[in-house]
Amino acid sequence: MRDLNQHEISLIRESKNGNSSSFEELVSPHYKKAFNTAYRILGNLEDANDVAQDAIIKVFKSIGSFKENSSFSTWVYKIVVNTCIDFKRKNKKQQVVYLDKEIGEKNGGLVLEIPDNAGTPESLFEENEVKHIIHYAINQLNFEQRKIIVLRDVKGFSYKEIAEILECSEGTVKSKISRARNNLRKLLASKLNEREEG
Amino acid sequence: MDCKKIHYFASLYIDEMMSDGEKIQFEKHCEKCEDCKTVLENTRLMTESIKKISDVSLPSNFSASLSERLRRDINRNKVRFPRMSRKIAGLAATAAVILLFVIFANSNLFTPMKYDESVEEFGGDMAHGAPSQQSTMIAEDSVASKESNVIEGSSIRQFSADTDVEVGFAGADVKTDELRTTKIHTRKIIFSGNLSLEVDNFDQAYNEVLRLAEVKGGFVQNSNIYFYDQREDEKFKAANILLRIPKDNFKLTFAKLQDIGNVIHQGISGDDVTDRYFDTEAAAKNLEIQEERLRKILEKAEKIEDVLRIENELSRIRLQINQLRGQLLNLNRHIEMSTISIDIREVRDLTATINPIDEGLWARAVSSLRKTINKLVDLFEKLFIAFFAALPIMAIVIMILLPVGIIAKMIWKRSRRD
Repeated sequence: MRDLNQHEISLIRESKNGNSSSFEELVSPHYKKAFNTAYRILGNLEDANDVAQDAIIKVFKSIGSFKENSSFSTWVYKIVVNTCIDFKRKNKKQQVVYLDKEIGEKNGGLVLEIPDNAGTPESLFEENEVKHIIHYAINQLNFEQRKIIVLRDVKGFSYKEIAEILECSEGTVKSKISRARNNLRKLLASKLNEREEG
Repeated sequence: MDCKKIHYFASLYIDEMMSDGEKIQFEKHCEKCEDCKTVLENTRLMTESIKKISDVSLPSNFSASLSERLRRDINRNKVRFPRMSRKIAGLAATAAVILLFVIFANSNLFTPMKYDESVEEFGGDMAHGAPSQQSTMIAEDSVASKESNVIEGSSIRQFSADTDVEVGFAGADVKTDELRTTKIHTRKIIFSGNLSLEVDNFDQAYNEVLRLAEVKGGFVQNSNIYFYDQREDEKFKAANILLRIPKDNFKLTFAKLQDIGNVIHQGISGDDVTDRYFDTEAAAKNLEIQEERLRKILEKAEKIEDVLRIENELSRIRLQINQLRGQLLNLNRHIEMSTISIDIREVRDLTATINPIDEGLWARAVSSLRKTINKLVDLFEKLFIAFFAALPIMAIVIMILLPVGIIAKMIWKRSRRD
C-alpha cells in the first residue's frame, strides 16, 4: 500500500493541477472503503454519505500539500477519519437522534441503520443476527474507541497505518486497540446475556 | 505474565504483534490460566466476527453527486483568490495589525506620559497662564483708573503695565469698603517656584542660571555651592540658588531653567496676598489722614502741654505708618519679583562611564549598536504597554467584527451549500 505506482503518481500530479477526472480515477477505488469507514464510525448512513463526500472534496482541495513519498490511501483515510471527528464535534446534538434509534431498536423497530439484507440465505440468518449485535455494540462504544475498532477490526488497517491516520505512536495504538476491544467484549457479553434472558 | 494485562496481550497476540519470545510466554500462560484463555478466545471470536461484517454498498448516487460537487468546487476555486494570494493576504493583514500597533505605540494617545513630556505640557500650561496674568494687570490698572476718575474701557490698556497701584491711591480719602469693592478685580499674588535639576556639567549649568537671571532682569538673591559627594577621583558639586525674577518673566524663565538639566522635581505656587495687601493699604491711608488732621490741630495748639501731646501722638502714628508702608513695600517687592529656588546637582554622565575614552570606529559601532538595542527595548516596552492600552479598543473592534464575520461566514456557507 505504501509505494505508489507510476500511474497513481501521474494521476496525483494531474489532480494537483486541478484535473477532476484524473482525481476521480485516483480516488474512486477508495470510495467504498471511505464510505464504510465513515458509516461504521458514525453509525448512520446519511451522515456517512455526507461525511465521505466532504472528506473526498477535502482530499481534492488539499491534494497540493500531499507528499508523494507517503502512502496515498493512508492519507485519504486520515482525512476521512478527521472529517468524521469534525462532523461529530459540530453535530453533538445529533447524538440525541442515535439514542432515539436505540430505543426504537429495543421496541423491535430497527430498520434505518441496518444494511440491506435482501437476498440473504436463510442459513446465514444466525450469523447476521450476531453481526447486528456487534454493529450496535460498536455504536455503543465511545467515539474514540469506536474509531479504533472500525479502523483495526472492521477495516483491517495495520497498527502502523492506524498510527499514521490518528497521528500517534504505535505504542499508543496498541494500548488503544486492546482497551477498545476489552470494552467491546464486555459490551457484547452483556448484550448477549440480555438476549438470552429476554 | 500478569493476568491484569491479559486483554492487552491478547489483543497483540491476535494481531501477531508480539515477538517470538513473548508469544511463547503468552501461550504457556494461557495453557495454565483458564480465565486468560477464555478472554483470549472471546476476543479472537469477536474480532473475527467483526471482520465478517460485510461492507455496505455505496449509495447509488454517490459517485455522481460527488463528481458534481467536485466540478462545482473547481468553478468556485476559479472565482476565489488563488491559494497563494490568500496566504499573502493573511500575511498582509497581520503586517497591517503590527503596523497599527507600532503607530499606536508611538502615538501620544497610547504612550504613557513621559516625564519630559509632562514637563513640556506644564510649560504650555504656563504659557496659557500668561494672558490671565496680563488681565490681572489690566484689572490693576482699572483700579487705578477708578481712583483717578478716568473713563473705563479700551483707554485703560494704554496705561503701562508697570503702573504702580499706589499712584492711584495717592491723595485720596480711601475707605476700606471702597477698597474691598475694587480689590475683586485685582489680585495680588506672590509667585514662587522651586526646581531640582541634575546636570552633567555643573559649572556650565550654574553659569547658565546666572546668565538667565541677568537676562530676564532678575538677580541672584542667594547662592550656595558645595560638594555633596566625593569619591576616589571625583567630586560632585551641588548648589542651591535663590533667584528673583520680575513677575512678568517668571513663567518664561522657569520654563527655560528646566531646559538646563534633567528635572527631578519642580513646582510653582502662587500666594494670594490680596486681602492682606489692601487691609494694610487702608490702615496706612487712614493713619495718614489722621496724621494730616493732627498736624492741623498742632498748628492751632497754643499750650505747650497740648503741643507735646500732639507731637507725641504724631510720632506714634508716623511710626505705625512707616511700619505699614514698609510691609507694603516688602509685599510689593515680593509680588513684583518672583522667587525661584533652584537646586542643582552634578551627576556623572552614565554613558561616559561605559563608553571608552577613545571613540574609535569600533567604539562608535558598539555605541550605535547599543543605541539600536536600547531603541528596540524601548519599542518593545512601548508595544507591551500599547497592547494593554489598546485592549479596550480591541475589545470593541472584536465586538463589532465578530458578528459581521459570523454573518459573512453564514452567508458564505449558505452559498456553498446551494
